[in-house]
Amino acid sequence: MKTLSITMLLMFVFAVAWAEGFDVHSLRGDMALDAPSVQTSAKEWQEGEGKIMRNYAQQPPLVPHSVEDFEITREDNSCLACHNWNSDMEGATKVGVSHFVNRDGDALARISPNRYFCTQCHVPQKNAKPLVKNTFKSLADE
Amino acid sequence: MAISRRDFIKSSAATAAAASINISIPTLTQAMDFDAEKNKIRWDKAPCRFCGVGCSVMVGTKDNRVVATQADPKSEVNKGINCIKGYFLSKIMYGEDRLTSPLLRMKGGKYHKEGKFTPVSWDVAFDTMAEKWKKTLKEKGPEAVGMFGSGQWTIMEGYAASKLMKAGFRSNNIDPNARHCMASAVGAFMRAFGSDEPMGCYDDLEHADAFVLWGSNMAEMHPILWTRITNTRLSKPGAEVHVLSTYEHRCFDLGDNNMVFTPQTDMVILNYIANYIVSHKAYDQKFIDKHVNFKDTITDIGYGLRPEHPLEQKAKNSGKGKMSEISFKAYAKLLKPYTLEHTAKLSGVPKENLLRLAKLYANPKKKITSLWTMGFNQHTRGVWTNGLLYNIHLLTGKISEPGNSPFSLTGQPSACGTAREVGTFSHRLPADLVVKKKEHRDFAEGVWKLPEGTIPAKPGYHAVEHNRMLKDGVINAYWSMCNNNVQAAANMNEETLPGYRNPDNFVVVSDPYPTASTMAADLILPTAMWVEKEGAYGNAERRTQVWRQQVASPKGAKSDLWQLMEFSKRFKVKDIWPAGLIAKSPKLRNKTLYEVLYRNGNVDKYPTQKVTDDNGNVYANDEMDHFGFYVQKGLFEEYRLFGTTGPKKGHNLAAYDQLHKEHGMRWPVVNGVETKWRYREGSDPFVPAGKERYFYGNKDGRANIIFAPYEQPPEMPDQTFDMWLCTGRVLEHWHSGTMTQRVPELYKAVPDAQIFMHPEDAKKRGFKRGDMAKVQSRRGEISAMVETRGRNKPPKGLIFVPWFDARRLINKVTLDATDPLSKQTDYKKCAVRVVKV
Repeated sequence: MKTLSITMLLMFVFAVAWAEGFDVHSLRGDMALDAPSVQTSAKEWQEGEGKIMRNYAQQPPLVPHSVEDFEITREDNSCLACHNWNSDMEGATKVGVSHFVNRDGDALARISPNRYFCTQCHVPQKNAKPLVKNTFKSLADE
Repeated sequence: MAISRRDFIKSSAATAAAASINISIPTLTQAMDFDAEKNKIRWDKAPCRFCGVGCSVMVGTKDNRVVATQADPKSEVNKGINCIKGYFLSKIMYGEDRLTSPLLRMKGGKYHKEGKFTPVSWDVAFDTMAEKWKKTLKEKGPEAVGMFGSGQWTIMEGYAASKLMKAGFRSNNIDPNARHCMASAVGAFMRAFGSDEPMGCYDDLEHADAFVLWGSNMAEMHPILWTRITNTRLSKPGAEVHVLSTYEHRCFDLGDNNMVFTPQTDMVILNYIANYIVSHKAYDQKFIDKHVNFKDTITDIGYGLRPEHPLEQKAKNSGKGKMSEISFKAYAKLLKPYTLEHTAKLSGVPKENLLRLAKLYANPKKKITSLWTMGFNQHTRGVWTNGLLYNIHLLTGKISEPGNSPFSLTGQPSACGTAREVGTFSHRLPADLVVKKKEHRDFAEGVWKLPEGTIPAKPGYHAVEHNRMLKDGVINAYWSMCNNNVQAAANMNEETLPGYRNPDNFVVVSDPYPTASTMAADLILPTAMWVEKEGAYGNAERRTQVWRQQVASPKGAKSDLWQLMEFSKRFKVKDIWPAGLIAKSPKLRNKTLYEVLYRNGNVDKYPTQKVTDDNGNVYANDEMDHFGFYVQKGLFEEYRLFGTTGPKKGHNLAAYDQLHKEHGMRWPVVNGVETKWRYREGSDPFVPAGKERYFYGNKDGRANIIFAPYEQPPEMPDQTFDMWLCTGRVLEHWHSGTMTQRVPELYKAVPDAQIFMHPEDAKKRGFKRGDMAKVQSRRGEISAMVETRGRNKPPKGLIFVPWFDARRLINKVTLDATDPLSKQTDYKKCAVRVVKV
């Protein structure tokens, strides 16, 4: 009921605002298509603010720090120094057991090669304000 | 059950303290709610909405909303893993600015080209649209209406759209955004094998000993296939990875033989390898004798620019693709100039790297899977270049067997399933049929129960021509669906924008969100997306995957399928078909296009039913409810007749009901069994016994080795515009970012498109990392931040700029030159300069 009345209110507000029509704002904001690019500035990585809460249990954890100085190559995976199951780095989320099973379902002693490149699923976050609000509702909020 | 961050830290600390003294304490102060019904998440499979890999995901829904997504453990494609985008699918439908009402540009209460967007009802939207279409059809005929479609349409949507355009409006001016993405691959498949799409499948990624990447950054663009390659490389003794690119990227982190080459010289390298194989007699003579023809192709074919462009005027054989039969000896002679010396000089790749690569292909013991995407396809010689790679695999017989596989990857979830297989191109019909062949048109008209001559024989305008024809006022009524071509099509300033805003034109854009394309439209239609409807996609390994509708769309938004079919109700055959055609089938005269195309006894064959899964869950199907029959099944089953009974064999799709049960199946599917390797005896049911391999797409069952020389690109750096520009994607964003830029986590991972640049190039121009700079070409400019130590490391003289960022439209800069055969744009090379803002 509450949602409905808010929707109706919004519809009323929009109806007034829309009486004369409006410009459609894409992710460009109010910049016209033939306007120059939006100016932007370098953004910092989120650092040292603790873990970033997940939206749902199945979501890979986000990385709460910069990874610019880390390398993952054939020879070396510097993420594992802190995140491997046997690392004693305090506060570092340890690699889950799913990462020790290969494509054929075999349990492995070391991290599965098909999970080797961490950044395919785990990404750090810049201090940037989202362009558009997302109304996804996490079960954590229930 | 809310737990604040502070409580969480406190409770974690208490747990840790308790654990250290070996006691357990309750960590939560509130009782857990274990009510079985309240707690339940319904999980059901669906293919991912993004790239052409076609991962299957499990979609978790609760109270008519998606609450989670996870990788499908039963999917052969991704076996329980997704990439970062796939894991955030759950959020793509929930951007706050979803469109929920048709918006029409109006002034003084009616449509006006320069009016402001005003919400209108679907009836007003379709009435306005129908009036424009009818006027255009009456005054100028079918060639003045057009539709731009998508490799993101579901199979049924693409099929319904193709029918509406080709058989309803009788216009072949329908083309998909897959033209920008896959057309060169299609062209080469048809020329070499007479049948579209790969012979191999993803199983090759485990069978191969070596992988060669030709212009494909799979680590970012096909992440799950990259996990499979990484798995093989790191766990199989002797496995190796060779990477070729015009700049260093993440795949180089795994590569054993990394090569950065000068743009366009991939053609030189490919011919060098063929030359090496031939001159070292490393070819498979038996295979060649049984399975291969040699051909030469006409050269100096231009660059797909406007005919009056000086480069087209200069080209001797602009747009021509004629091939002629040659001998193996003649082919060998044509390869002669492509020596190691010459190739190293032109490409800039050191000789030892080239030699290592050539020796790999020449080694009969190594199973090789070659992979490519836009590096080959977005190439002004894309068809030729795709072909040059097939040449190598055909010379050595390394094809159509597990692990030996030339593999063309795709960029969109249904570039294969919808754009290519349904044939939503201006020259195609379903299952590899083409409009210019009478036999093919006859067959299509037969399936569709339409009179002979309904489908026009002349191919329509292709995607790049659409924008040119809009600008020139040749196409006046235009509908774009399921893509964002104002942000995608090259040369926006000179072609796209003037085309959309031409006062003679009425442009409709259907989209779930406001995009650059909607900004340029005259009418915007709010659209249901992904699992808000039932659908099917086909991925790059010929795998068809079906999904059920999981949630309702926002009120007011309707699926592309609903839009196409509802719109068709507004046209009567007698008003738009010529009398001569109606005379062949007078009973159609007073019918609407809806009745003729979708109530033809095929499409409406299946009555409404309850859609359920094996667990007894019941799913909505909004289109079935609205139209009163099982629309998706009817369309799919009619479409399936093209593969099972059509003139081109080997395109059999599985039955719709079976696809609902399976986690995807690879065609041809015969007697309920899928095909892993096409053209291979024992795997492909269409290969006769004793043939071993049989390329039945061609009449003689043989594949074509087609020689093509190196030819220069249309625009190269010079004194004024001194750098190469290459464009592409990044892992975290997909295409124009309409979905991924609205997911906060993906946005915050990569908020802005940057100019990836060599540090010395930056220094020379006075830029520090993070400075804003302008990228200028002869066509337009953008500004973005300079990045000198990011994931992409270009060589000196080349910059890379991704195109996802709507706030800096790099397609203002790119050149609209195409492969003259495939008509696909080359987004990978043009000349620019980088200057201070």
